[in-house]
Amino acid sequence: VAAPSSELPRARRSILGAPGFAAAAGRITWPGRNSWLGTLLLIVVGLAALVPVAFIVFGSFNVAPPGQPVRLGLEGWRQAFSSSQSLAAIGYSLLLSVRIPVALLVGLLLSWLIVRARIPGYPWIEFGLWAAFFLPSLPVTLGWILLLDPNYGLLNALVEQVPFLHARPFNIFSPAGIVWVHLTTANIPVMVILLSPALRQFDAALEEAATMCGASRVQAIRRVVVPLLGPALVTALLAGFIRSLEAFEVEQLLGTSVGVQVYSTRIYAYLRQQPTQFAPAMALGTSLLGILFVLVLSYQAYTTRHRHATLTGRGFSRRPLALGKLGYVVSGTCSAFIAVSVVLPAGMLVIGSFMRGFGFFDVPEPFTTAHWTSILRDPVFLRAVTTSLQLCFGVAVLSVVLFSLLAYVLARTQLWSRGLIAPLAWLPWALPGVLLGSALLWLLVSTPGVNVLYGTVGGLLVALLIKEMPLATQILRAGFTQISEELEQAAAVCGAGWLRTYRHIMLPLLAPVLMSVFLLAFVSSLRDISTTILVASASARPLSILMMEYSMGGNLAGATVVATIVTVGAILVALGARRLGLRSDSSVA
Amino acid sequence: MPGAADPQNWKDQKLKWMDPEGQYLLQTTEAVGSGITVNPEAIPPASITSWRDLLKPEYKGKIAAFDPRLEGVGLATATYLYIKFGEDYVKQLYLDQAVLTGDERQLAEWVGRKVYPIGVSLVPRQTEVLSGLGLKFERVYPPDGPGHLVGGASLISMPKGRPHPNAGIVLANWLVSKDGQVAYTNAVKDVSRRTDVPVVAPAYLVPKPGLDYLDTYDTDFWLTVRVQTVELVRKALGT
Repeated sequence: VAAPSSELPRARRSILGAPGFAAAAGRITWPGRNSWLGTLLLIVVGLAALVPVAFIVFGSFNVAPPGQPVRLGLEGWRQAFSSSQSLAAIGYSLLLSVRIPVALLVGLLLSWLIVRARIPGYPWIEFGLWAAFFLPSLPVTLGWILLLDPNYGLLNALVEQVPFLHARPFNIFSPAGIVWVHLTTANIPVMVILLSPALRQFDAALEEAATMCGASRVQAIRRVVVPLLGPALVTALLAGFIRSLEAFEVEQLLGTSVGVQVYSTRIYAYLRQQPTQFAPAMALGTSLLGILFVLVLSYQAYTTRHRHATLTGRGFSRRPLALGKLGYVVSGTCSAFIAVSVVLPAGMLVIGSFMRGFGFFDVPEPFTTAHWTSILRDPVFLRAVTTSLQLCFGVAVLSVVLFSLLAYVLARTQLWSRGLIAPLAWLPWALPGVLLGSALLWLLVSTPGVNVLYGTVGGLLVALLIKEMPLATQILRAGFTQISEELEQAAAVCGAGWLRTYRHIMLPLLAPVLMSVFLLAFVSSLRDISTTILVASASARPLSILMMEYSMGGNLAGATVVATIVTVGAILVALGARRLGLRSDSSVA
Repeated sequence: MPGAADPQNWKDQKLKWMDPEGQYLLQTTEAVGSGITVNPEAIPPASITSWRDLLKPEYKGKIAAFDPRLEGVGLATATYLYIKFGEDYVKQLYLDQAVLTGDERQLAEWVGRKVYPIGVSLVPRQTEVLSGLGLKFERVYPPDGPGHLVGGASLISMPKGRPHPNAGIVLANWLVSKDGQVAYTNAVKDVSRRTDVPVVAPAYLVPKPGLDYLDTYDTDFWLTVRVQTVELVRKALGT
């Protein structure tokens, strides 16, 4: 149904990389294979990715206590891998990552129902999933504890009232509880966020052709949709798996009391020891780099073999599939899922911000507006709002601009350094946020010239841009891969230069993907704690860090006020961006 | 500042330094660090007369403790108990009797809600918030282990190469003055070592004269005993 790019004539595939092509167009010339741009990008991406990695790998062999002269040895590695707790933590990490394929399947189904079937109420279902992703994980997990605690959880108490049951079936403090919180508030929503743009760039005529040839709906999805979405699915699977290894707050809160430690909480435990056990922490970090390296090589091999363009120059169909009455049933099921996974914890979050004690309904006068009054009058809060706004818009805009350029280079050009840049762009994802943060702190404090960024929003911006680079680049790269090169070639034949082609052809087609990247970067920056916690300072303290400080200081109600404000702000940005994105989307259609 | 460093204004008529040279790390507060916290509505405080009572079979499943494998208040208590009662006690308490958590809020909530009515290593910043809501907590210091002394985050030092040296000196002087200590202890609810600063911390944090506390902010303890004991505790608990 769509020819893999690898089967296109060689001359046709490489035409954009040939300097002669652009010269013939007589406009802006896209650099050729040996251009200086290849070297420049390699240096920039290499510095961003390799410096923290080098710090961590080196740190795994430096067994001297902090502040002492370097002493090299393997003690850190021995300590990390001879500990039964470390091995159990790695085992639990792998066990809990089983949620990723589950999330991928559910996310793909939901994306298909939203984009292709357009079930009744689909805009709100999609929006609900975006909102789920925006909810800050710490207070949401606290909300789930209130609902599903085996001793005093509200849902358990409700079920206990049911005649003949008299049981408390739910226990949030368990591996199943951890998986549930991740699935509902992060994994499934993020899969929909990643896969929906890819499906929007999918020509419905391909699926219709399959059904006209006698394939059932399921067969069409299995034999046509899934293979053609391969790069996007593999990107989502890989990204989800790597991120699952980094997940921290939920495991720390729900797992520690039942003996469930994971990779990231184990690293955190090493970093919290005194003196700080950098070497074993870094050794665990380095081992994840090794796993990532293997995965990325496999990913590279896969994407080289499977380059399917789903958006070609032959016309484009977006006709929704008719599900009939079944559509209402499916829509009801999806809405119920949203209600349970989003409305319930979000409701707890808002209610919690008005409670004298978070979750204490049975105390005298349980509700108050005092937390809101004191937080909104706090100058520290107002400074944090400004810092967060600068940071989030800065990271989001720069992510779209810089990483779309990087993704274009990876997906479209023949630059000599492309093969080196691609795996480098993945590297920061292998680093748990707290390790990336400690590497950047060291870099910011000790490097002349760079140290002016320490304690500024600029330092936080750099940290978050490095953190966002892998996902943003890979999403955009998958987006570019889906757009057939013949569209650019047609524009070039009509006399358009690269910049004009990019602006009038690529940008509108890519608008939903760009909007997704913008929102992901914005919201990730708004929520991030692990990467920024070591780099933030009193003069550059974003809302997420302020929320954590309130929480650590015992002011959980204050933390929920900030969390509510963060969530509402993120949803407002999402609404605005979504409106813009849909406009671009419809203009393409 | 006038009188700031006058030993007469400080406990035992001396400034307490944590470093061996007695000039780099000044400790300005001192409070009792470890103890048993019970919910008196579930466990009569008088029923616990010894740390060894916690090993009684009837208390199994009723005790929660801050995870001593993590740095902080949990490890400090476990280290103290290791020195007082030995490895077997620590193993039995933390591995057999208690449920562990790394979240101090959760620990306080468990005791306050009577999920686990006995708590080890609860921190005042959490219990005081919950006490304000009407939950009941009572600190128990058994005679065989009256607790250890901690200086919290009150240590003052002047980093080498600091950007504004004179401003640092002014701040340090103010922090050790009466006004500075009043402001600091009001903010963190700690017990100042200055004798002219009113106590705003909960009474159970104030060291009582004549009791045999282990001073964990003592130079020798911190640099030698603690390092060795922490290693032994971690080995015993399998970190």
